[in-house]
Amino acid sequence: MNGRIFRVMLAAQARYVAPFLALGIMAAAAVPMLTVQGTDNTPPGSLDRAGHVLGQAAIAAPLFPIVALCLGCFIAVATWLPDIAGRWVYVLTLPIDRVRLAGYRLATGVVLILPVVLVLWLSSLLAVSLAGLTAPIVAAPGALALRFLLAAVLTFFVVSPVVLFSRRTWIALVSLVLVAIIFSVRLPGLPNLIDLLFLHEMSPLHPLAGQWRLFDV
Amino acid sequence: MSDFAIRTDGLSWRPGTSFALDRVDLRVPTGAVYGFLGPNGSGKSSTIRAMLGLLGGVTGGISILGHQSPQELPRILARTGYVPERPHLYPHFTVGQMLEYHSAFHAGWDATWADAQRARFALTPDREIKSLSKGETGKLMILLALAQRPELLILDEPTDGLDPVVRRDVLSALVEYVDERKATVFISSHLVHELERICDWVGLMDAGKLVAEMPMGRFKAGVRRLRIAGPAPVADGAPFTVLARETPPGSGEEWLVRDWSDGMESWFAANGATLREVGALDLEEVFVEMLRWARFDRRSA
Repeated sequence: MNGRIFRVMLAAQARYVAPFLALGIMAAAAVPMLTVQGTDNTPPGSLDRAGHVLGQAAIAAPLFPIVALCLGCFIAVATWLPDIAGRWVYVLTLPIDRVRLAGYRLATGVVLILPVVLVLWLSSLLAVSLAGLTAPIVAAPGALALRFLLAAVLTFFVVSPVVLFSRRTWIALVSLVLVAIIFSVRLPGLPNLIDLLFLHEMSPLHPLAGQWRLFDV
Repeated sequence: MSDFAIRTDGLSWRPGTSFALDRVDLRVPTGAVYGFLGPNGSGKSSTIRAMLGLLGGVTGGISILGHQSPQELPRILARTGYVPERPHLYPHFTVGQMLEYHSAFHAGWDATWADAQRARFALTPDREIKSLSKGETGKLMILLALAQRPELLILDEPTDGLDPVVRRDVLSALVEYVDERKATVFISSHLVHELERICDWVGLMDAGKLVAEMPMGRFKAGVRRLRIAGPAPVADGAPFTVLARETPPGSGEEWLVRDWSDGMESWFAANGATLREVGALDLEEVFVEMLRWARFDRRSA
């Protein structure tokens, strides 16, 4: 890997994803803190506090995969959009093998996800320290941050090739989705699309589903 | 070193039902400044895009600087500066960021020259690309292509739409570079007079075909307008090629011929005709007549 090429590509992509990155960082800081919102009204270590925190954790749980999904999607779009807008002319006339170029783009995308994950982890640690909970309540800030990282990277890798589809493929894909929605509405026996995308174990987006709690028993 | 900086053999591209490029056999001599002429839509840009691996479904052989395209594109692009027809730089970059970005990919990047040329072109480093005028973008494109110190420059209508002052700046930067480096230049344009001043080879495209390729001297000097008094002879067996015959008001004929050289006047006397005048054509007239001839030739076939 050429370090200078990686650095300039990272700097260039950072410029494009900066607004999404800022939003992601704000969300990653806010969501874990939502879990401990209102705990001051209950005594530390009490059952009341435990019940309150578990309830808040259940409310905040769906927000983690949503933030990871949005982050992965936005970074994927922002990573490739300048090349798509430029009809690939500039980037494909750079003296670099195209597979390596895609590798650099994907690697820089993953690096750009890391600050958000770091903020999520720090915010989760802060939330855990503020919660003041004792056993049998357990907190998993590290596991949650790792899961968030994997989910965001997975989304980034799944969405990247989709972004690169041609207009014709996009039209075909959107038509297919619309047909699937219409069929799933008309024929109640069929699983709905959201279930298929996120809950079916063969779906690449399956890891985004499931339990995402910062606190659990 | 290969005799040809660019060589294509049967280069064809058929995006739909008809050919956009039809068996183009280009031979661009190493060290030449090759003008790639043709009207809009004749296939000049498509030929360049095909050579640089920007089109899918291209058939035929392409060799650039001794490397096969598209198989060895990174090697080719490391030695080739390319200015596309429409600039596709990143609009949110500043000039300075664009230079920094581009330089990272080119081992031969001459930062000192680039800085000096940027100042000469009055391009401020903190100006965003999207805020540059067409002329400033044109200057930046040629700067990016030249600062990588390429052996081959492929320029696709580099001065199209630029005002005369910017056009002169861009062309003089190009000429200076070629003088200094003896680089090969492949420049496409429909601005014939612009190429007349700088090119030593010419290729002429029309309707996806290469209809002529020759040294500029031969292209210009070999084409003549002949005024013949009285009855014109039969052209079969003439030492030149008759491209067109016209009968102007009055008597006699006007012939447009190519492959003309001094001394051929005697052929008319030997065939019982009187050659009244041999007129030179400027490059634009030659260009127009060559196209007319090529189209007539295709229709006849």
